[in-house]
Amino acid sequence: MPIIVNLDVVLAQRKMRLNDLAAAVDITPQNLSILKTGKARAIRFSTLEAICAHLECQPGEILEFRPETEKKKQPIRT
Amino acid sequence: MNNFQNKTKIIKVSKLLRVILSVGLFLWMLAAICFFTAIVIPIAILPAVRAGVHLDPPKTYWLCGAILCAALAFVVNLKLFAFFGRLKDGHLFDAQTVGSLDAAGKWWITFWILEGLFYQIGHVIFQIANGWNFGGLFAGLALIFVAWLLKEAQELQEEQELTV
Repeated sequence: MPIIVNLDVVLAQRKMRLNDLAAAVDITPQNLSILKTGKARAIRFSTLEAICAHLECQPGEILEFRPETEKKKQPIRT
Repeated sequence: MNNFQNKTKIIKVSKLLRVILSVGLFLWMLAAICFFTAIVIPIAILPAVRAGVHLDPPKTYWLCGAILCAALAFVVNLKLFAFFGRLKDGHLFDAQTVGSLDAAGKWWITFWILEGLFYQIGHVIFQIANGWNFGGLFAGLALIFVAWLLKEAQELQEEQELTV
């Protein structure tokens, strides 16, 4: 999946546990775990807003785009 | 709340359909046991019975074909029974439920093909009356199409469950 979730990195930087974040933003620890482990298929803006507000960070710190490997890339045809 | 009420209704109807199918399956098995015990086994084992019954080729052909078609029809009912069993347990859109319905459709088409071969060959060779129609094909294709729709619903549900 090209979108990488760096929630665990941000949590470590803020010295916060996943369960504490889950309680603070009113999301179940299971759902946050799905997000943290990269299994989530989509994230709502409301969820992203709540997480960023509590962690005092930008969405770009939590979400990262890592493109696929070079040999799998198709040339852009105009 | 409306979705929850719909799901409850689906579960109730599935329970009823499953009961009807289970009665049908039970009667089917009972009929099969009686048929084999009273007719097939005596004919196969006892020469006196075989001689008395006068099993000519058309009757033998009809008997073998009927047994094969009945077995396939039983499998179709079993797959539908499994499908409604999954619905009764509340598993509306998951892989096993979709698989049961898809399997029922494919078995129904297989049964239709075999029934067609049975009637066509029997009509040509033994002049058996041709009772074949396209009902089984349409029923099987309808089940496969509905299973395809349920598979799409299953993927949408999975996506929804994995939306944080």
